[in-house]
Amino acid sequence: MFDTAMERARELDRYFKDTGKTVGPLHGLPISLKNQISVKGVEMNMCYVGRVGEIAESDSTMASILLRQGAVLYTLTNLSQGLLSTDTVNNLYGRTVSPFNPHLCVGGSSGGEGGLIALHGSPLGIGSDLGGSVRYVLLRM
Amino acid sequence: MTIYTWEYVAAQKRERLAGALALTRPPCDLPTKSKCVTDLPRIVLGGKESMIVHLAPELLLSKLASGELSAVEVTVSLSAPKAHHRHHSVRVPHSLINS
Repeated sequence: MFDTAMERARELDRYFKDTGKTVGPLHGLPISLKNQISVKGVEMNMCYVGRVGEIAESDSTMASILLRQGAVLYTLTNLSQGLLSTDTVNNLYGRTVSPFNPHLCVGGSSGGEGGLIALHGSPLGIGSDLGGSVRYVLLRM
Repeated sequence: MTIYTWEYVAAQKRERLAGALALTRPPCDLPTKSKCVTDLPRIVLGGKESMIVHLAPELLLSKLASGELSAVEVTVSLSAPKAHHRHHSVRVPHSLINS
């Protein structure tokens, strides 16, 4: 995914250089995605072992909106198995802990997004948050 | 048809991931998993990359739109394409907060 992100970034730079314009309001911004948002050509396993190797055949609605606005989609982030708990742990990638305190879990189900952004690994990301999924990481105590 | 256990499939996947990460591991020693690591990008990234990863998205966007920063510069700072065998932001967090 890093390679395709670099290719995308080069394309955006070429467009900017040739036209003097941006592609859209998110021009050139790398955006991380929770591992449930399909990007064409990228493995979409949703952190299920049984889905390892499944390549997305098309962009999800979210991905196509972001791409139309100029974003660079460069990484997928960890989540809790089945999106069903507030502990970001699954049988494929294991557990993600809080960058503030490794003795705490990072929350979830979008814990990978919360943790990555807290650690400045992503300027903007897409998770889903019904009751604190992305925000739990801020509970540092 | 060979049938693999889920443990085997997961281990293989993690091994591939570890292999990719090994190419980008920082030469410096990472702190042990016993404390807050949110300062690490500031410590291990170079000046301009550190500035980029600490910028708020709206500021990044205005610098991208004015041409002050290129999309490639920003993407490289936040990720670690194979062409750049260095540690970058996404991969540093991965090795620190995933167990």
